[in-house]
Amino acid sequence: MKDILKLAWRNLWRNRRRTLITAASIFFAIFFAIGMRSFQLGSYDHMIKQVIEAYTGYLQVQQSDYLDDPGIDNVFEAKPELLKQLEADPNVKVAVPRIESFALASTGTLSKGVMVTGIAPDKEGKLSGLGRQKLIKGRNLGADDTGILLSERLSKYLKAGIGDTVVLMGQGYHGVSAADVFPVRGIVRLPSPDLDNKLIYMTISTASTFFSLSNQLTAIAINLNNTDGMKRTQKRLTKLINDNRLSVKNWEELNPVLKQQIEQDNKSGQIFLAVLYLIIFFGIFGTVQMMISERQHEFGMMVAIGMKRKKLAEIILVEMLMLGFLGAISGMMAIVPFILWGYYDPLTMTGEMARMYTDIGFDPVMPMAWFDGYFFRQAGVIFLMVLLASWLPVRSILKLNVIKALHGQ
Amino acid sequence: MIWSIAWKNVWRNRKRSLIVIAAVMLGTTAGVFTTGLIIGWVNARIRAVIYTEVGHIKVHNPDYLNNEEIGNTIPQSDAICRYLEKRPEVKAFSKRIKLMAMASTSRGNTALMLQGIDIEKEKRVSEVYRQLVPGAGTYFETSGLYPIVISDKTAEQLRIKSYQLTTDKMDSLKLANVPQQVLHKLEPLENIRYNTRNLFVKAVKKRLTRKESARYGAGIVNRSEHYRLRSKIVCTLTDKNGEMVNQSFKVCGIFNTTNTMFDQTNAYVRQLDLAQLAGLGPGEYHEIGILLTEKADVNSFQHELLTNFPRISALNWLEMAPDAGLMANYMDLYYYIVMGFILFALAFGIINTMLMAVLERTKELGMLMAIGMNRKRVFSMIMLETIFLTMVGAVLGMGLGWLIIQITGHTGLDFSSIGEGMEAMGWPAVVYPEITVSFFFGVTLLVIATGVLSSILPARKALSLKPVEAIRSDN
Amino acid sequence: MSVIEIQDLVKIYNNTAVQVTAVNHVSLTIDKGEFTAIVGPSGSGKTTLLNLIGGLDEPTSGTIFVDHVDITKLNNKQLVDFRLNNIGFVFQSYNLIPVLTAFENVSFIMEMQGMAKPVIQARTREILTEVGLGDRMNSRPNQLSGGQQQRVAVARAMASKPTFIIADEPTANLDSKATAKLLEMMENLNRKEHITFLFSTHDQRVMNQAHRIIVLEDGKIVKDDKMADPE
Repeated sequence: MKDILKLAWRNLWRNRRRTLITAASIFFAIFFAIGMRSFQLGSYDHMIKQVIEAYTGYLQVQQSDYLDDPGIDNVFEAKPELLKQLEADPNVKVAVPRIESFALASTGTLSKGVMVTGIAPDKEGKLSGLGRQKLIKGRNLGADDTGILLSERLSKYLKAGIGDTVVLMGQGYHGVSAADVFPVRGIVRLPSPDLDNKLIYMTISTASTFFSLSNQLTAIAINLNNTDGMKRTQKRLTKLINDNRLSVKNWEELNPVLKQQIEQDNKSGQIFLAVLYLIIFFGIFGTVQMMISERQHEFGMMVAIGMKRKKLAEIILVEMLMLGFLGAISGMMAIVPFILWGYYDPLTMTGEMARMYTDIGFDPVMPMAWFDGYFFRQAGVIFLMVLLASWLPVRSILKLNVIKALHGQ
Repeated sequence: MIWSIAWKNVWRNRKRSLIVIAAVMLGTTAGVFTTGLIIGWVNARIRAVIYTEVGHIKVHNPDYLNNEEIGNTIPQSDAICRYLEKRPEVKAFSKRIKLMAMASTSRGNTALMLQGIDIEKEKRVSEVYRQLVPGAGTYFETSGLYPIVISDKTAEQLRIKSYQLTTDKMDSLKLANVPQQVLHKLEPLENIRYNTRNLFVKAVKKRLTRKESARYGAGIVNRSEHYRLRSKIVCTLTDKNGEMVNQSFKVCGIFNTTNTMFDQTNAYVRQLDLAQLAGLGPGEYHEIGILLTEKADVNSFQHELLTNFPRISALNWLEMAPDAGLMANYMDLYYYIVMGFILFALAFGIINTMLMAVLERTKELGMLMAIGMNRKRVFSMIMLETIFLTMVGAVLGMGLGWLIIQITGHTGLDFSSIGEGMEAMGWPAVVYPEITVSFFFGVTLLVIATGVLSSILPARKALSLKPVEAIRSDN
Repeated sequence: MSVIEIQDLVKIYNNTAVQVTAVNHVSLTIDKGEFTAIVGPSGSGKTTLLNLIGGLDEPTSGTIFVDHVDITKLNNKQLVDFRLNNIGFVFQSYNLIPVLTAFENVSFIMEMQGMAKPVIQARTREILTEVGLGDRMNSRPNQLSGGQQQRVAVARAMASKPTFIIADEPTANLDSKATAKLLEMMENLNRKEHITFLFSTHDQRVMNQAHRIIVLEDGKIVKDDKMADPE
């Protein structure tokens, strides 16, 4: 085995230029592929963190019809034991009660549609970091507070600050109209521009009164310790609740739009990579073809003096795998500093580009994802590609006709 | 002569050349098609922005942009209108009153920006009237009081839209060749109203097999859309004096554009109705939407308008829809980068192939240099051979790419499975790829550049050969 | 009238650890219309000498005048042009461009010289007919026999109207029949058109046809016989 490795390695360097060029093409492909995937996956993680982790929660317990028919009528009874039961699950980091509905906010002459979110102020901080982390002005809501918190962009639009009052108009339980005036206690900054444009927080009891509910919630939002186990946790909690009227939904079901946006970007990235890899594949195929055709005489001689064709084929295969390895490892090493940089100090967009992103509701940041499966998967693809590209040409060695080879055909 | 030799040399080792040609062809086709896709998308978006959503230019009171207060109407609106009437570049314009209102029905509520429009004028500026859901009302062709035209999305939010398999709908499904056994399975659902799409889809899926759902599902769901036209929507708004006003409107039509954000914000009512409710007088408008002729220069018109009326704000569509604007501006750059990238990946294979081609011809090259072929000619020969090799694949790739674009540009590419996500950002779910001839020129130039750059290494190798050593006879 | 005048030519190779003197103070004159063979065993320096005369290699010292031009003083670019217009080459093998026909191989060199197209066409036809390949003008080298290929090579060398033609062992790969044919053709050309031929060989039959034989041994001329004029 060691002989084959040594021989293969030396053979590679007989035609240094060609080896380096082919290895460079693999280096380039891996470097770019890992880099691009890291950007993509990093962006998705970021979006999910900002929207899901900071607000929606990875799971939500809702009345079974709520998702398909969202509205203040599809609420469920709030049972404190339920919250305790949910939090007892090993993967549940925190479970918080919510009353969420739409309303129109108005400050005299300016109005905007907003999302009113009734929360338990003491607990909410653990889920979304509300409170200390996100509060930029004023103070958080107290336990029995009748005031509201505005998200930053919203407060700018409505020109409402601490101490101002905002009129909220909406529709409550069973069509009862909801209208009231609320003082602003604080301003919070949401990381997602989309959310930052439309959120108003109030206590559960205030929301309850506003929407004419009695001890009812629209959802219980849950954040997890380990997000990989999301679907399994979902199943477990469903079993735990054991109530047909309630169901547990994961964020992909709760926010299909976000899921689709991620899917679309993901798929288009994968397709682009597929094209890139296909091109590199042809390159590798061409290289191994050239290698073999130029060494026909040498092969003929080796087989003539007694080397088994199979062994010869093995040597060539090992040469090609080493080549792939060379390109892949160097590419992987080269991208590492970029990933570290992009993870700890992500690229931030400026100017028009940034504005375009925030207009659609996305944070104008392009972080890189931490090392994960995708990093090694690309090397795996290269490995397979080299095997595939070498297949036919190496097979021709097994069928080598010694006379023809020696005469250079 | 060098050209002819170079061309013939490409075909010396057919197998090897074909590998490179295949790779270049694949890469070029992919690049061309991707570009066609993107151009199709961007053009559709721009078209929607200009002809449906925003127009070419919008005029506002500058204060209105900061503070959408009802009082911030456009100064000198009559003079502006007279000016616009006279300008040949102006195809049409429409004056609008805009008010934010809370819209509610017994089953739902949402915020809407009510647009008080002059119906006939508006039709000439915006194509919303052409995007009504078939069978769902009309664009103000009603004699009723306080009519309102809302979007499909709004109808959903207000629970005016439901899903129902009425007897009529069952008949139409039969006519659409849905098999009897499928209809039979759906009979228990007849005439039951479902509030949302998801609820309906669930009910249908429960009764059909997976195959039946996959095949007929979408059609059944789409046909079962039911709008309760003439429903009442109560709109609450603040008038000029700061007083809260309630008014009940009757839904007379439902529209659906490819931009969900646009849809869920906007609704249309008669200008006179809204003016009266808001306490606005004649000549008081918040917005003038202007559509120019196709050949008009938007920027210079905008500039002139502002020069003539310095106290107004006039924004063009690029400024108002920055996402489309950005894409439009960077489109050229973007697709050349894509193509350049692909060619870069291809270059590795091209260089290797040409190096091999040079190395196996050392004797021949030595001979040529001996009999008097100078460096320039040798370099040109290698360079041309590289360019030809690359060009063959590129031309084939461009041809194939163009063909695919022609076909898909006709039939359209349906991305409905991720359609919601796209339309949420304002991009249509069905794309018609298109490409311009100038793009192919650009690609050709890039290919030639790739060929030239790739030929440097092999040509240098060829030139480094010494004729003496190259033709040294093997005794 | 001399077409080639060589004075005190020396070529020393420093490639390997050992110094090799391939051409050792050679002086020589070739006149127009000569049909001269340079002979000697392997390693005698005949190939090196021909390479030097043909301007393919640089001497260590000495001068070479071709048509009264000292080619040792020309730079690379000038040498290439000089070779194109003044010297014709026939190599042992790999003389022709495989992708071109016989016609194209011959016309190609005239195109490089910048001759007018109709002139090129006519002359190519003429020359190929003269070397007996009038009916094989559109054949590619791989469709021609070894002898035929060499004749095309000679035709090409002639076509450029050179001062002289250098042939390095032109018959080494040919059988006796082809060798005879080639030699006959070359001699004809020499006689009719007064084209100067300078070739190296170690084939006796070739030597027999030469009008003058220069024998080289260890880089020095040891014998320089002018044979009797055949006429």
